Amino acid sequence: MSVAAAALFDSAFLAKLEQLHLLAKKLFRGEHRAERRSRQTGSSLEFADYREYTPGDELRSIDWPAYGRLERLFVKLYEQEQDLPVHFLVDVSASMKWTPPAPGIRLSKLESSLRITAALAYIALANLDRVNIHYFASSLLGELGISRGKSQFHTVLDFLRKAPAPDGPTQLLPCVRAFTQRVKRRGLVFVLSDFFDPVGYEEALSLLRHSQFEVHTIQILDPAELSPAHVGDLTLLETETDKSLDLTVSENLIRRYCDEIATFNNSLENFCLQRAIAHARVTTDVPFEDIVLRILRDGMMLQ
Amino acid sequence: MTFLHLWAAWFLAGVPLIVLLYFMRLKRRALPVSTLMFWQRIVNQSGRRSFFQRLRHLLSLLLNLLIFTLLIAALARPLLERSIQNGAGTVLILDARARMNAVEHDGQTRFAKALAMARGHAHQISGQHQLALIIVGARPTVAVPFTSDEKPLLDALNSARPTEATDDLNAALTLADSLLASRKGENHIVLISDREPKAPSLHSHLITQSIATPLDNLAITRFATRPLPASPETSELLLEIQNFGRATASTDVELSYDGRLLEVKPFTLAPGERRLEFFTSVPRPTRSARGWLKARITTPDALAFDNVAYATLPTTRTARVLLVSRGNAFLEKFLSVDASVKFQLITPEAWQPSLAPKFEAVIFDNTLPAEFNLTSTQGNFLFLKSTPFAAATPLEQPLVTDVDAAHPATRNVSLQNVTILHAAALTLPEPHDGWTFSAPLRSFDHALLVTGERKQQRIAALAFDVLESDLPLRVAFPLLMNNTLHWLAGEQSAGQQSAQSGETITLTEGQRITANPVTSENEPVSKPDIAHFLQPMHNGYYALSDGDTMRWIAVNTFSADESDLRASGGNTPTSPPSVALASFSNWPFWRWLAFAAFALLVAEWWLFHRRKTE
Repeated sequence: MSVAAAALFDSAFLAKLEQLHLLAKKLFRGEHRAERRSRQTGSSLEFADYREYTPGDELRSIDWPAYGRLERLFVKLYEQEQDLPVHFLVDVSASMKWTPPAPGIRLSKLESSLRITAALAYIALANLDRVNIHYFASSLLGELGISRGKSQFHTVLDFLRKAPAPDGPTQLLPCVRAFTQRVKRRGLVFVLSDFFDPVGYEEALSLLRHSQFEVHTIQILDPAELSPAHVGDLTLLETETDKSLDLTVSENLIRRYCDEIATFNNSLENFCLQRAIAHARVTTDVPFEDIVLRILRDGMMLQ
Repeated sequence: MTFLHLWAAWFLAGVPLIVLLYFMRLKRRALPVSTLMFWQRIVNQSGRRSFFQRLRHLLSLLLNLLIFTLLIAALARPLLERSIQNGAGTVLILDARARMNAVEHDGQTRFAKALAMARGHAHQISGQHQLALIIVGARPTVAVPFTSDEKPLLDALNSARPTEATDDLNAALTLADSLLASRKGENHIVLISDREPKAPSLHSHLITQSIATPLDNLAITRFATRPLPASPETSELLLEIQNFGRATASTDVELSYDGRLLEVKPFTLAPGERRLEFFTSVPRPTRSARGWLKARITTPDALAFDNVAYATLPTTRTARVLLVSRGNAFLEKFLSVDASVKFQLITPEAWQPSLAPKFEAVIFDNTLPAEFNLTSTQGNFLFLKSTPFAAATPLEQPLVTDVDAAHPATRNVSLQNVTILHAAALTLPEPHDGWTFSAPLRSFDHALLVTGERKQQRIAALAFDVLESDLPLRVAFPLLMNNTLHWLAGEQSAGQQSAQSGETITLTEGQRITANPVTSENEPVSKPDIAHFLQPMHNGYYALSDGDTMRWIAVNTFSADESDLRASGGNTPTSPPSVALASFSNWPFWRWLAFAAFALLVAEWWLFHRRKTE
């Protein structure tokens, strides 16, 4: 991450981030006491349930008014607040480093995804959640390791700054498979990618979901990918595979391309919607603060 | 098929260049993209078009070559033989005679209007409708033979100029008839003039398109000069002016001499009136003067060229004369007082043949050199009494019976009642060694004066001694001697001093004349370079060079027919042409080819540059 990007995280912006929480619909078992509800009952002030008294239970936990009405002994149970495991799967394939021939001052998709990851990780760390970051392309490439607490934010930033050089094609399924096998404790998973996987993203996302992870997808695209401007006799060179395609690009062909990519994006959106996967699509021309404070909140990823 | 412009085939050499440019255009631009996934899907969906896409560039190249070939073919102006033979033909006769210079009420000349109308015809020719152009000036000329090509017609019309000559249209109409004689299709003669021809019914295909309205005009119809017989050093002028208008007209006529105003005379003429006026005592010009006489009507009218008339006076030349005599008081006195003669006197003993070329004329008074031979001698000679011609029995007191007033030697000479004591009975010699002879002075069958002429050499022989007659006592003596000496000096052979526009001026060997006239003293005179003959088309002065001397010929139109603009019109001037002109369906073949090339160009642009084939 560049110095300019790091400068985005000024104290005012961080203060705004601290007001936010990552949304998780499911309740996951944590390791440490924290601020997030869990499946376990414990000693918080939040009432959870009743159960019949069994010998050995503390007498102060018996609900005496209930005994007066029912003449049976019940014990009041309270929720246990724990931390939440938050995982980030960040796509570092070659397509993520692609920028259009005349990009101007726009960031690449990878730079945008790293910034978003940093912001979300900060929110998680501020809420005492456990954060882990994984890079992937055609395989899992690196892992941050569990980090907890705001003091670990610099570790996160260092890890993001040292992101591997983008290379290789996107192969989501083997990476997800490896991820689910490696990570035993379920939790929240953010997948940041352009999802340009020729094999498809469906199986990979389904696997994550079936593995009891709550999945949030953030699709990052460059505006030039949504509506290319170049026409004429072109040789299109794919950055991921070095394949080429000779094509005479006309306005008509560009229209068809736009339709095609719109169909792809809609199908991803529908897929996520049908499977209760939170989804957000961002483009690199949108201001970063806008992405975090508006788009991700609208995508039901932040509160 | 006939190609009018075969040179256009040279452009076919540009085909390799087109192919080269095309392949240069085919070089693709490399563009990195994040993924080919979506492009590949589109290509796969368009698989049915892939065959055409592969052919696409080849088709575009072929289309470009076809467009190029069509353009070259159009440029070559192809003509189908069948359409030439069976198509309609029109002979366009453009009147370029003097009266077409008349300025109409709208400020345009009649010729300019006629040109505009002719261009309209030229624009409508086609392969099925050919046009030939005849321009009538002093005589009809086929400016462009039958053609389907608009360009030579327009070029000929652009270079056409109205003349100041006159002619009738019959020759032009006959020429047009002969041009149309071998054609099978519908034929027409379109005459663009200011009036109907005199016998239009003789030409069944004739359509007259008049571009004129009746106009008033004042014109000088004659302007001539001649030396006064009583005073050869002066001349008199004849001026005729005519009113070709429908109302009484008044004007002044300025008479100028070598640019200097001589006289201004007012005229008032009734409609159709013609007035003759004489001006006397115009001095003959000196040797250094031009001798230009110009008459000008000061009131402007519809026709400008007939408001000015040109004439010339012959310049005075001093003739060098050698008198070989033992004494002749009358002759010596005459030669000494005649300003146009400079003479020397020698005795017969001092004569040498080598002296002859140094003088314009040599007078042998009552003496004949023994070695004199007509065949080999050089120079111009006047023999008095003793002549080289054979003589029969001397005549006693011969009477002068015949005087040739047209001969330069005896012009204006009255020899009636001249008493001659003795005379030799000269016999008119037969032509020999290039010599031709005449006898302008006769006494019945006998010649009293024999004149002979051959190339640049003249001779005269008087059959009697002037001292044996009373001729020296008469006015006729100095006239006869002056005429004869100036004729011998070659002055009278200059002859023609004026001509009519369109008339052919025939030149002798060594003579040269300027191609264009000058009309004022301030204009530069070009070097005379036209030999053999000239047909002047414009009024003014033409310089004629005859070796070391130069003189002027005045050219005028002087035609009442050209100056009379009252009878103009005929057809309604605003009436549209009634000729069946070429329509869209009669487009020439080359225009169709050019149209096809344009259509293909648009199609190629739409299909390939707008990527409609993708």
